Amino acid sequence: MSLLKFNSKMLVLALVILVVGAVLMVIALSLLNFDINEILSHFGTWYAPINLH
Amino acid sequence: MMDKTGFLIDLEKDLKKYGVSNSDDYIEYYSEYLDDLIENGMSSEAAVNSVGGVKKILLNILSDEKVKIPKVKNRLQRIILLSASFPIWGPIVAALYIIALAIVFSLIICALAFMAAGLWTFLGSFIVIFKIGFTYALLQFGISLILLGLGILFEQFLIGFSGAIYNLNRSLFKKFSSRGIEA
Repeated sequence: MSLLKFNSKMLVLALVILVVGAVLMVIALSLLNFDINEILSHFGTWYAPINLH
Repeated sequence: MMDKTGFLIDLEKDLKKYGVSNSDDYIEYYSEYLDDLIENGMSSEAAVNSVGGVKKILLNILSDEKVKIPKVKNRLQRIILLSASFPIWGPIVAALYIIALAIVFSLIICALAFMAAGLWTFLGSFIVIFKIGFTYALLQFGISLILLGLGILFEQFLIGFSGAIYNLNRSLFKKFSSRGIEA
């Protein structure tokens, strides 16, 4: 299984990673009660040493 | 001194050069003729010598009444037609190539961008755990996996597509190059 060759295994792996990521994202969003504002309010300030709360 | 194989190869090249379409018949005939001479005890070189060399045989064949040489006029007509219609098919071919190259370029950009974004958010998600909290880190980790997956997908599309274009060009080149290119 090589990244430098076109092969179906790599495509399947990419799709699996994508789906796992989507599931994790949905789980995390539901843990945040799907509050998009909660996420957007951190937008761009996640790494800044600012005390948000 | 030239042996039988060299003689036949040179003869075939010359026949092709003069546009003889039934050159195989003559090659076969002279191959058998030389074989007979060699069977009767001549060396390969002596047999070729007794026949008289490539140029002499070529003249014999060209003056033979069974020789088939497609009319030069037809070939010339085809070449002129192809050249005259170049303003029509030239831009179409050029456009197809440009489109193909543009697709390759956009695939490169997509693959690089998704992979870079995926790696960056992936690394960032570990910082988010300590800075903000697990839930946000999980969210970012999920997003990074989506980006990485897309990056690998585009990278695979890029390799598949560019490989297909390479093979297409190679087969086209083989098809349309009439002389000098060994398959």
